[in-house]
Amino acid sequence: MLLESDASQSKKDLNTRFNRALATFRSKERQIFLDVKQQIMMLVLQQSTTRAQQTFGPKKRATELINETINKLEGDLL
Amino acid sequence: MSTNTLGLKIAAPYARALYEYSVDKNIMHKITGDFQNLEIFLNETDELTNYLNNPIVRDEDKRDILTKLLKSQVNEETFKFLLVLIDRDRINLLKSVIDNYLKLVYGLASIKMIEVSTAFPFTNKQKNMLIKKLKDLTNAREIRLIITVDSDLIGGFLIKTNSKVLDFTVKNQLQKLANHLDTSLEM
Repeated sequence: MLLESDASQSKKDLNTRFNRALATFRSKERQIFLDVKQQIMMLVLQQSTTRAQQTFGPKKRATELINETINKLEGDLL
Repeated sequence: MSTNTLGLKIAAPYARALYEYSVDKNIMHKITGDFQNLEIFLNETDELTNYLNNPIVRDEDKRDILTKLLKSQVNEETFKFLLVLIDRDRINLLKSVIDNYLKLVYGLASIKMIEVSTAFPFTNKQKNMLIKKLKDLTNAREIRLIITVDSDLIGGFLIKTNSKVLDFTVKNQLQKLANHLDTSLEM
Protein backbone atom coordinates (compact mmCIF):
# COMPACT_ATOMS: atom_id res chain seq x y z
CA MET A 1 0.00 0.00 0.00
CA LEU A 2 2.75 2.39 1.00
CA LEU A 3 4.78 1.45 -2.04
CA GLU A 4 1.81 2.12 -4.33
CA SER A 5 1.30 5.53 -2.74
CA ASP A 6 5.01 6.37 -3.14
CA ALA A 7 4.95 5.26 -6.75
CA SER A 8 1.90 7.38 -7.50
CA GLN A 9 3.46 10.44 -5.83
CA SER A 10 6.69 9.88 -7.75
CA LYS A 11 4.76 9.69 -11.02
CA LYS A 12 3.02 12.97 -10.20
CA ASP A 13 6.33 14.63 -9.33
CA LEU A 14 7.93 13.31 -12.49
CA ASN A 15 5.00 14.49 -14.54
CA THR A 16 5.19 17.98 -13.04
CA ARG A 17 8.95 18.15 -13.62
CA PHE A 18 8.56 16.95 -17.18
CA ASN A 19 5.84 19.50 -17.91
CA ARG A 20 7.96 22.31 -16.47
CA ALA A 21 10.96 21.23 -18.52
CA LEU A 22 8.78 21.05 -21.63
CA ALA A 23 7.37 24.53 -21.02
CA THR A 24 10.89 25.93 -20.50
CA PHE A 25 12.07 24.20 -23.66
CA ARG A 26 9.13 25.60 -25.70
CA SER A 27 9.69 29.06 -24.36
CA LYS A 28 13.38 28.93 -25.28
CA GLU A 29 12.54 27.43 -28.66
CA ARG A 30 10.12 30.31 -29.29
CA GLN A 31 12.69 32.86 -28.19
CA ILE A 32 15.35 31.38 -30.47
CA PHE A 33 12.87 31.30 -33.35
CA LEU A 34 12.00 34.97 -32.82
CA ASP A 35 15.70 35.88 -32.65
CA VAL A 36 16.45 34.01 -35.87
CA LYS A 37 13.37 35.54 -37.52
CA GLN A 38 14.51 38.98 -36.46
CA GLN A 39 18.00 38.35 -37.85
CA ILE A 40 16.61 37.07 -41.18
CA MET A 41 14.31 40.08 -41.51
CA MET A 42 17.12 42.49 -40.70
CA LEU A 43 19.38 40.86 -43.25
CA VAL A 44 16.74 40.78 -46.00
CA LEU A 45 15.68 44.38 -45.35
CA GLN A 46 19.24 45.68 -45.13
CA GLN A 47 20.16 44.01 -48.42
CA SER A 48 16.95 45.17 -50.09
CA THR A 49 17.45 48.73 -48.84
CA THR A 50 21.04 48.81 -50.07
CA ARG A 51 20.01 47.43 -53.46
CA ALA A 52 17.13 49.92 -53.71
CA GLN A 53 19.44 52.80 -52.83
CA GLN A 54 21.95 51.66 -55.47
CA THR A 55 19.20 51.22 -58.06
CA PHE A 56 17.35 54.49 -57.46
CA GLY A 57 20.33 56.58 -56.36
CA PRO A 58 21.40 57.61 -59.88
CA LYS A 59 19.38 60.60 -61.09
CA LYS A 60 18.41 58.93 -64.36
CA ARG A 61 16.73 55.94 -62.72
CA ALA A 62 15.12 58.10 -60.03
CA THR A 63 13.63 60.32 -62.74
CA GLU A 64 12.41 57.30 -64.68
CA LEU A 65 10.69 55.90 -61.58
CA ILE A 66 8.87 59.20 -60.99
CA ASN A 67 7.80 59.34 -64.65
CA GLU A 68 6.62 55.72 -64.63
CA THR A 69 4.62 56.32 -61.44
CA ILE A 70 2.97 59.45 -62.84
CA ASN A 71 1.99 57.54 -65.98
CA LYS A 72 0.55 54.68 -63.93
CA LEU A 73 -1.76 56.93 -61.89
CA GLU A 74 -5.29 56.09 -62.88
CA GLY A 75 -8.85 55.50 -61.75
CA ASP A 76 -10.68 57.04 -58.87
CA LEU A 77 -7.57 57.66 -56.88
CA LEU A 78 -8.31 60.96 -55.22
CA MET B 1 5.88 80.26 -36.70
CA SER B 2 3.36 78.47 -34.58
CA THR B 3 1.68 75.60 -36.34
CA ASN B 4 -0.06 74.15 -33.32
CA THR B 5 -3.80 73.67 -33.18
CA LEU B 6 -4.35 76.67 -30.96
CA GLY B 7 -2.31 78.82 -33.33
CA LEU B 8 -4.37 77.62 -36.28
CA LYS B 9 -7.59 78.37 -34.40
CA ILE B 10 -6.44 81.90 -33.63
CA ALA B 11 -5.20 82.45 -37.19
CA ALA B 12 -8.45 81.33 -38.84
CA PRO B 13 -10.61 84.40 -37.97
CA TYR B 14 -7.85 86.76 -39.14
CA ALA B 15 -7.63 84.92 -42.45
CA ARG B 16 -11.41 84.84 -42.79
CA ALA B 17 -11.72 88.58 -42.03
CA LEU B 18 -9.05 89.46 -44.58
CA TYR B 19 -10.63 87.14 -47.15
CA GLU B 20 -14.05 88.79 -46.69
CA TYR B 21 -12.48 92.24 -46.81
CA SER B 22 -10.59 91.38 -50.00
CA VAL B 23 -13.77 90.04 -51.66
CA ASP B 24 -15.68 93.10 -50.55
CA LYS B 25 -13.07 95.52 -51.91
CA ASN B 26 -12.40 93.41 -55.00
CA ILE B 27 -8.69 93.10 -54.21
CA MET B 28 -8.52 89.36 -53.64
CA HIS B 29 -6.16 88.78 -56.57
CA LYS B 30 -3.74 91.41 -55.21
CA ILE B 31 -3.63 90.00 -51.69
CA THR B 32 -3.49 86.43 -52.98
CA GLY B 33 -0.48 87.31 -55.14
CA ASP B 34 1.22 88.99 -52.18
CA PHE B 35 0.53 86.07 -49.89
CA GLN B 36 1.78 83.51 -52.42
CA ASN B 37 5.04 85.44 -52.69
CA LEU B 38 5.23 86.00 -48.94
CA GLU B 39 4.74 82.29 -48.29
CA ILE B 40 7.77 81.48 -50.45
CA PHE B 41 9.76 84.38 -48.99
CA LEU B 42 9.10 83.31 -45.38
CA ASN B 43 10.02 79.71 -46.14
CA GLU B 44 13.36 80.89 -47.49
CA THR B 45 14.17 83.34 -44.68
CA ASP B 46 14.16 81.56 -41.35
CA GLU B 47 15.93 84.53 -39.75
CA LEU B 48 13.00 86.81 -40.50
CA THR B 49 10.50 84.23 -39.26
CA ASN B 50 12.44 83.79 -36.03
CA TYR B 51 12.74 87.55 -35.61
CA LEU B 52 9.01 88.06 -36.02
CA ASN B 53 8.30 85.16 -33.66
CA ASN B 54 10.62 86.45 -30.97
CA PRO B 55 8.52 87.90 -28.11
CA ILE B 56 11.53 89.85 -26.81
CA VAL B 57 11.80 91.90 -30.02
CA ARG B 58 9.78 95.11 -29.71
CA ASP B 59 6.78 95.67 -31.98
CA GLU B 60 8.43 98.84 -33.28
CA ASP B 61 11.45 96.88 -34.46
CA LYS B 62 9.24 94.29 -36.13
CA ARG B 63 7.34 97.11 -37.82
CA ASP B 64 10.63 98.65 -38.99
CA ILE B 65 11.97 95.44 -40.48
CA LEU B 66 8.71 94.71 -42.31
CA THR B 67 8.61 98.28 -43.60
CA LYS B 68 12.16 98.01 -44.95
CA LEU B 69 11.67 94.58 -46.47
CA LEU B 70 8.11 94.51 -47.67
CA LYS B 71 6.45 97.92 -47.88
CA SER B 72 7.61 98.55 -51.41
CA GLN B 73 7.06 94.91 -52.46
CA VAL B 74 3.44 94.30 -51.46
CA ASN B 75 0.14 96.07 -51.92
CA GLU B 76 -0.90 98.72 -49.43
CA GLU B 77 -3.75 96.63 -48.02
CA THR B 78 -1.51 93.63 -47.51
CA PHE B 79 1.04 95.76 -45.71
CA LYS B 80 -1.62 97.34 -43.49
CA PHE B 81 -2.81 93.88 -42.57
CA LEU B 82 0.72 92.88 -41.54
CA LEU B 83 0.86 95.94 -39.29
CA VAL B 84 -2.46 94.94 -37.74
CA LEU B 85 -0.98 91.54 -36.91
CA ILE B 86 1.97 93.25 -35.21
CA ASP B 87 -0.30 95.61 -33.26
CA ARG B 88 -2.34 92.66 -32.01
CA ASP B 89 0.71 90.59 -31.15
CA ARG B 90 -0.24 87.98 -33.75
CA ILE B 91 2.59 88.39 -36.24
CA ASN B 92 3.90 85.00 -35.07
CA LEU B 93 0.82 83.49 -36.73
CA LEU B 94 1.58 85.04 -40.11
CA LYS B 95 2.35 81.72 -41.81
CA SER B 96 -0.85 80.16 -40.47
CA VAL B 97 -2.88 83.20 -41.51
CA ILE B 98 -1.41 83.03 -45.02
CA ASP B 99 -2.07 79.30 -45.18
CA ASN B 100 -5.68 79.74 -44.04
CA TYR B 101 -6.28 82.64 -46.40
CA LEU B 102 -4.92 80.80 -49.43
CA LYS B 103 -7.03 77.75 -48.59
CA LEU B 104 -10.14 79.95 -48.63
CA VAL B 105 -9.14 81.47 -51.96
CA TYR B 106 -8.26 78.11 -53.52
CA GLY B 107 -11.52 76.63 -52.23
CA LEU B 108 -13.43 79.41 -53.97
CA ALA B 109 -11.53 78.87 -57.21
CA SER B 110 -11.83 75.07 -56.90
CA ILE B 111 -8.08 74.81 -56.80
CA LYS B 112 -7.09 71.54 -55.21
CA MET B 113 -3.99 71.56 -53.04
CA ILE B 114 -2.05 68.34 -53.17
CA GLU B 115 0.98 67.57 -51.05
CA VAL B 116 3.70 65.53 -52.69
CA SER B 117 6.65 64.02 -50.82
CA THR B 118 9.38 62.80 -53.09
CA ALA B 119 12.81 61.20 -52.72
CA PHE B 120 14.19 63.36 -55.53
CA PRO B 121 13.14 66.86 -56.66
CA PHE B 122 10.62 67.00 -59.48
CA THR B 123 11.66 68.68 -62.72
CA ASN B 124 9.28 71.28 -64.14
CA LYS B 125 8.29 68.78 -66.81
CA GLN B 126 7.41 66.22 -64.15
CA LYS B 127 5.44 68.80 -62.17
CA ASN B 128 3.41 69.65 -65.26
CA MET B 129 2.89 65.96 -66.08
CA LEU B 130 1.62 65.28 -62.56
CA ILE B 131 -0.63 68.35 -62.53
CA LYS B 132 -2.16 67.32 -65.85
CA LYS B 133 -2.72 63.77 -64.63
CA LEU B 134 -4.23 64.90 -61.32
CA LYS B 135 -6.50 67.37 -63.09
CA ASP B 136 -7.85 64.50 -65.20
CA LEU B 137 -8.33 62.26 -62.18
CA THR B 138 -9.89 64.80 -59.82
CA ASN B 139 -11.80 67.05 -62.24
CA ALA B 140 -10.31 70.01 -60.37
CA ARG B 141 -9.98 73.20 -62.36
CA GLU B 142 -6.55 73.87 -60.98
CA ILE B 143 -4.06 71.84 -59.02
CA ARG B 144 -1.50 73.36 -56.71
CA LEU B 145 1.36 71.05 -55.73
CA ILE B 146 3.14 71.45 -52.43
CA ILE B 147 6.30 69.44 -52.95
CA THR B 148 8.68 68.41 -50.20
CA VAL B 149 11.85 66.40 -50.77
CA ASP B 150 12.60 63.58 -48.33
CA SER B 151 15.57 61.40 -49.26
CA ASP B 152 14.51 58.79 -46.67
CA LEU B 153 11.82 57.73 -49.12
CA ILE B 154 14.67 56.24 -51.25
CA GLY B 155 12.74 56.48 -54.53
CA GLY B 156 9.34 57.43 -55.95
CA PHE B 157 6.85 59.78 -54.31
CA LEU B 158 3.67 59.88 -52.26
CA ILE B 159 0.60 62.03 -52.71
CA LYS B 160 -1.49 63.42 -49.86
CA THR B 161 -4.90 64.96 -50.27
CA ASN B 162 -7.51 65.76 -47.64
CA SER B 163 -8.81 62.23 -47.60
CA LYS B 164 -6.15 59.92 -48.98
CA VAL B 165 -2.48 59.05 -48.96
CA LEU B 166 -1.20 57.32 -52.07
CA ASP B 167 2.23 55.96 -51.31
CA PHE B 168 4.37 54.96 -54.31
CA THR B 169 7.69 55.21 -52.53
CA VAL B 170 10.39 52.57 -52.31
CA LYS B 171 10.35 53.02 -48.53
CA ASN B 172 6.70 51.95 -48.51
CA GLN B 173 7.54 48.87 -50.60
CA LEU B 174 10.23 47.94 -48.08
CA GLN B 175 7.76 48.39 -45.24
CA LYS B 176 5.34 46.06 -47.03
CA LEU B 177 8.16 43.54 -47.44
CA ALA B 178 8.88 43.76 -43.70
CA ASN B 179 5.21 43.17 -42.88
CA HIS B 180 5.09 40.24 -45.30
CA LEU B 181 8.15 38.66 -43.72
CA ASP B 182 6.75 39.21 -40.26
CA THR B 183 3.50 37.43 -41.05
CA SER B 184 4.86 34.68 -43.30
CA LEU B 185 7.71 33.55 -41.04
CA GLU B 186 5.87 31.59 -38.37
CA MET B 187 6.66 28.48 -36.34
